[in-house]
Formats: sequence, structure tokens, C-alpha cells
Amino acid sequence: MSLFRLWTIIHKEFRHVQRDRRLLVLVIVSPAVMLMAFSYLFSFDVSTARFAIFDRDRSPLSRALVQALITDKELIFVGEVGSFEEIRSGMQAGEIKLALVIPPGFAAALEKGRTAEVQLLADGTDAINSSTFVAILSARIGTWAEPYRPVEIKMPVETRALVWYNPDLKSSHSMAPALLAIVLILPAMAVALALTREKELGSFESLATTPVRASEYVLGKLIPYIVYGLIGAAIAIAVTIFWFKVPLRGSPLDLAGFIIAYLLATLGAAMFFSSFISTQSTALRAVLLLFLVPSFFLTGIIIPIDPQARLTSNSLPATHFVVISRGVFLKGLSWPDLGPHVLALLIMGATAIALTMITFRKRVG
Amino acid sequence: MTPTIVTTDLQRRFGKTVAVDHLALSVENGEIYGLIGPDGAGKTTTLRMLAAVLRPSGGSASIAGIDVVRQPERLRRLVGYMPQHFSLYGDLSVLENLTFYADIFGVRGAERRHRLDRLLHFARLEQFTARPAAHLSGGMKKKLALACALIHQPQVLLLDEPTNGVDPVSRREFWDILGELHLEGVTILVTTPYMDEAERCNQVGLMHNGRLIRQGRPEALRQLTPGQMLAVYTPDLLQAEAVIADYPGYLAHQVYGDRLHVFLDVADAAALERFLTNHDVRVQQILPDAPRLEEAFVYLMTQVSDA
Ligand SMILES: Nc1ncnc2c1ncn2[C@@H]1O[C@H](COP(=O)(O)OP(=O)(O)OP(=O)(O)O)[C@@H](O)[C@H]1O
Ligand SMILES: [Mg+2]
Repeated sequence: MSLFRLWTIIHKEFRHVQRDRRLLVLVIVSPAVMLMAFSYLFSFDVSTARFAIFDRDRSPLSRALVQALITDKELIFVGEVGSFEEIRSGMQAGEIKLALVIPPGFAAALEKGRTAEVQLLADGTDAINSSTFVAILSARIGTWAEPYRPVEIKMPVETRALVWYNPDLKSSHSMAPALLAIVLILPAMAVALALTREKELGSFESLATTPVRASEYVLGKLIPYIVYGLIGAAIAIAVTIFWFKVPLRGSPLDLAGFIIAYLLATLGAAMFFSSFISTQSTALRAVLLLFLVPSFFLTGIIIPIDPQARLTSNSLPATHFVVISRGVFLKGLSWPDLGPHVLALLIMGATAIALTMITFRKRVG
Repeated sequence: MTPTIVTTDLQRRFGKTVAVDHLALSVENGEIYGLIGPDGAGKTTTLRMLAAVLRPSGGSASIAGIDVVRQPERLRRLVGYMPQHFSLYGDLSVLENLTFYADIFGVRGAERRHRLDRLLHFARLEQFTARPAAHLSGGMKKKLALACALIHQPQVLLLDEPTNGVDPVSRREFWDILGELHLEGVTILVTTPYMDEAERCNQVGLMHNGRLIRQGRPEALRQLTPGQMLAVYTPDLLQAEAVIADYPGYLAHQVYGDRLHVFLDVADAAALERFLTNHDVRVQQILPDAPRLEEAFVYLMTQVSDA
């Protein structure tokens, strides 16, 4: 590999981006803009968190719990009900989204120091909001029960609680860091476009007859987009911290390193499949279908990861970055805790980049 | 001495399409070889295989003894290739494009400055160094592409329709440049749709359906038209075409704008004029003419498509 030729490609690629305003916007500004748009789109409307309580225990302790919950500012208490039938009809009418059932023996269990059980019934048709409400209510009950023994919450409904380390349960807190994983796919889209544009415009045919090597070409395309990706990420992170007021509890330097690992994995994969694609429009579709859409739904950002799709989820770089980003932002985690995920990203990146170089051909058609 | 460019049984298929079919081409050292042929004849496919940017489906090809399939990287410094379609960076300026190729080929320092100056002068682009390549005229784009293909001083040039869509003055200029390269000893394989350009080559090969159907010096190829040629100027071209085949000794004819080129066993202008006048064709003038490569090309094409 000739470092001079590598630099020549890098230099050229920087110029392309600098001179193409759309591309510049795509890699530098769009991540932040998309982050804001998505955060509002997916921040849950807690004002619809209407819930009812069915107190079957009727003990001083259960009354105390009810009292604590109905005075909550974020949850809208609709009223107490006297039967499961009332809960069902209330949900069907859309009047309540959630019901808390306190079974007989609740107080007795708590007083004897045993684990008390409550039931949460959620409207499964509104999965995203319901799981948030379940999480919120669970957190409230947990807080209330702290002086006692842990209260085990049972939910005989299709939804599972989202386990977020987010004590205030403000959705943008957990959403914005996770959505970074989505918006940082844009640099990968840009590199896929850059590779296919070269073929589409025909400049690749001339370049292929020069002594340039696969490694020089691949790294020469990759490095500028990593740099631009980092700039875009910095702006998106600034929005996360200063606009959404999400605290960055971990080290910014760690975060930058992890973002590089994420960019290596996503850009590497994008480059790999772009080498089999000859038009920009196909490349764009490929990034959307192989990356953006699955990253939304399979990585635990808006719906919890389906254990049956664990393998697919784990093969998506975004899955790991969601854990990393939430970890660094909300829990202040670093290397030792996030090691496996960072390693996964690095392995994916290295594999994809190596494969791109191996399969790279200086050919047209 | 072995030819500089040799293809043996060279083939390339795209699905069912046979783009290049058992092609045997040979270009001698230092020669300008013109490859002509109708659209889709396989000229571009041939040049791409020679430039080692397309894999042959069969057969072999070599340039200066280097096999294009087995040792493509050894060709890079030896061969300059100019693709049919614009293949430079439109957003980079003239100078940036040239500098990019200089850098990629490792041409540096004083040598780089020297070559850039020379090529800019050569391509008559000195005044446009800062202009983005996308904003150049068609002819200037072609000259810039040639300059980029020459930056590493290749011994062999593969040029795919280098003057297509270029005005006649620029075309002449372009061929003057090729003439200078020829004097420097560069071997040039060029495709062209223009017969006047083919006349300027040392050798011409006629491709059709992926095969080389004739090859020779332009003077020799011109002789391939049958009999003798007369140019008939008439306002009644359609009527003339309809009756001409009945003329005794008729061999072939071709229409060129306002005139008919007729190939006859014996070129008797007076007899032909009498015949045409008798068949309601007003004749302005009939002149004996020497067939050009164009007539030969058209004649050969009608021969193969009839066969
Ligand atoms: N990449 C490709 N995929 C499929 N078919 C192709 C491809 N390239 C060329 N062909 C086909 O191969 C045949 C030869 O094409 P080629 O471009 O070599 O002809 P050409 O002589 O250069 O024509 P032109 O004068 O129009 O440039 C054509 O039928 C063309 O459609
Ligand atoms: Mg062609």
C-alpha cells in the first residue's frame, strides 16, 4: 500500500464532499436534524397515560399505594373499578390504557416481608405507548415499595416492560442517545452513494486503469466519511446534551472512540454491499432496507428486542451502539462494561472492510 | 518483431449477447490502428478487455507481451486508456484532475510540473486550468481526458471514440496531437465513427458483430469496392435508386446526401446518363470519382448483412 496514493484518494474525496452541498448536509447537518425530528416523533405522549385501579385488597397499605399513584403528575388517574369486566370495557372504549390490579393478600405479604404481587394490565394494541406506561407505573410502584420488600409486578399481557435506566422516565432521555445509532447511519449512506457514484459517472473506469490498489481505494473512501461522520456526530451529540438536556455521564473521549467503532462497522458494511451495486439509487435502497429500517425495529430503540430475533438483532451494528450510547450517556459506563459491544462493532468493521478489499475488483461490468 | 497488441480468439459474452467473438487483432509497434464498425460491433468491449477493466469470457490478449488477464497490474504504467464516455471528475478543475492522475501514477516534483505544463499546452487547456471539468466544452473534455491518459507517458494508448461529438476544428487538433504522439513512437489503438479519421490511420480494422471482418491499410481497403465508381448528382434520387439496378454492368450503389455513388463494371458516364434520362431521372452531372474508405466500409457492411 502506498500512503501517498492513499492520501491522494482521501484528498480527492474530501474535495467531492466539500463541493457537493447536498452531501455535506447529509453527513454533517442531517444527523442532528433527524435526531430532533425522530425524538419528537417517538417521545411518548404521557398525557394519554390514563389508568384505572382495581383494589381487591382493600387494606390500609393498598389504599396508601392507590393514594400515592393517583396524585402522580404524569399519569392520569381515571378512577377505581370494581371488576375485571369494567377494565376490559374501559380499554375497549379507549378510556383507559392501563389498569393496576392489587390482589387480595397484598398487604399481608408486605407485612410478613414476603414478595407482594400486583398485576398490570395494558392495552396491547398501542404497544409503544403501553410499554412506556407500564415502565412508568412500575417505576412508581417500585419507588413507593422501596421501604418494604420488593413488589413483584406481573403482567399477563403481551407487552413487556422496557427496562430503561432512566429514573425520571423522560422518554427523550432514553430515546435521544439510542436514536444516535439511527442518525449515524447517514455517513454510511453517504459512502455507499460515493462508491456507486464513481461507477455511475464513469470515473471508476479511468481510475481502474491506474496503479491504485484495493486497500488504498477502500481506505481512501472510508477515512473522509469517518471524519465527516464524527463532525456530524458531534453536532448531534450537542443537540442531545443542550437541546434535550440529556446528561452525558460518561467520558466524551470514550464516546468518540465508540462512535468511531460504530462508524467503522456501518461504513464498512455499506462499502461491502456497495461493491456489488452499480447505481446510486440501488445503493440508497440497500442502505434503507438493510440498515435503517431494521435498526429502527430490531435494536430495542422503540420496541424491545424480540428474544427470537436475537441473532438478527445482534448482527446489526445499531443494536450494540444503542447499548453503548445509552450506557455512556445515562449510566456513565466505559470500556470494561461496554467491552463486548465495542468489540462486536470492531470485529464487524474489520471483517467488512477486509471483505470489501478482498472482493474489490478494478473492473466495469 | 511481435506485434504490440495481440488478441487470440478473444471472446466476451453478456448473457446471450456475444459482444466480441473470436477476435484476432494485431497492432504493430508504433502504429496508429483504427478500429471501425457500426454501433454495437464490440469496439468498446474490446478496448475494455485490453485495458484490463473487463474480463474476457474466453481467448487471450496481451500488450507488449503482458497478458491482460493474468498480469493486469503490470499494464497500468504501460497503457493509457481513454474510455468512450467522460470519466473524469466533473467537480474537480482541469488542473485538479490532471494533478490527481499524476499523483496516482506517482509522478512528482519537478517532473510533475514539467509534464503538467507540457500536457496543458499540448491539449490547449492552459487558459482553463481552474475551470471545473464539468463546465468544459465537449472537445475540451476529450482533450483533458487524453491529457490525463498521457500523464504517465504510456507506450500504448487505447482511445475509445476520442473525438465523438467534437467539432471539426477540435477533431483536427486532436488528430494533430495523435500525430505528434505517433512520431514519438507511441502505439495507438483508436476507435472512431468518422471515416476521414480512419483514413489517417496506418491500419484499419472493420469490426462487425464482434468479429474483425477486414483489416488493412486504408489504401488497400478502399480498393475493396467493386468495379469503378461514378458520382451521380440528381434531384430525383429516389427514382434513380429505383431503376439503377437494371443498368447493365451495375454492381452496387450508395446514397450520399444529394448524390448517388454507383459502382459499375465499366464507368461510362455518357451511357449511364442516357439510361437514367430514359428512366425519367433528371441528371445534373455525372463525375468519375475515387472510392474513399467510407464507400468501402458501406459496401463491406452491405455484403455482410446480405450474407
Ligand atoms: N455491460 C454490458 N452489459 C450487457 N451488454 C453489453 C454490455 N456492454 C456491451 N454490451 C453489448 O455488447 C455489444 C457490443 O457493445 P460495445 O459497446 O462493445 O459496442 P461498440 O462497438 O463500442 O458500439 P458503439 O459504437 O455504440 O460504442 C452490444 O450489443 C452491447 O449491447
Ligand atoms: Mg463503443
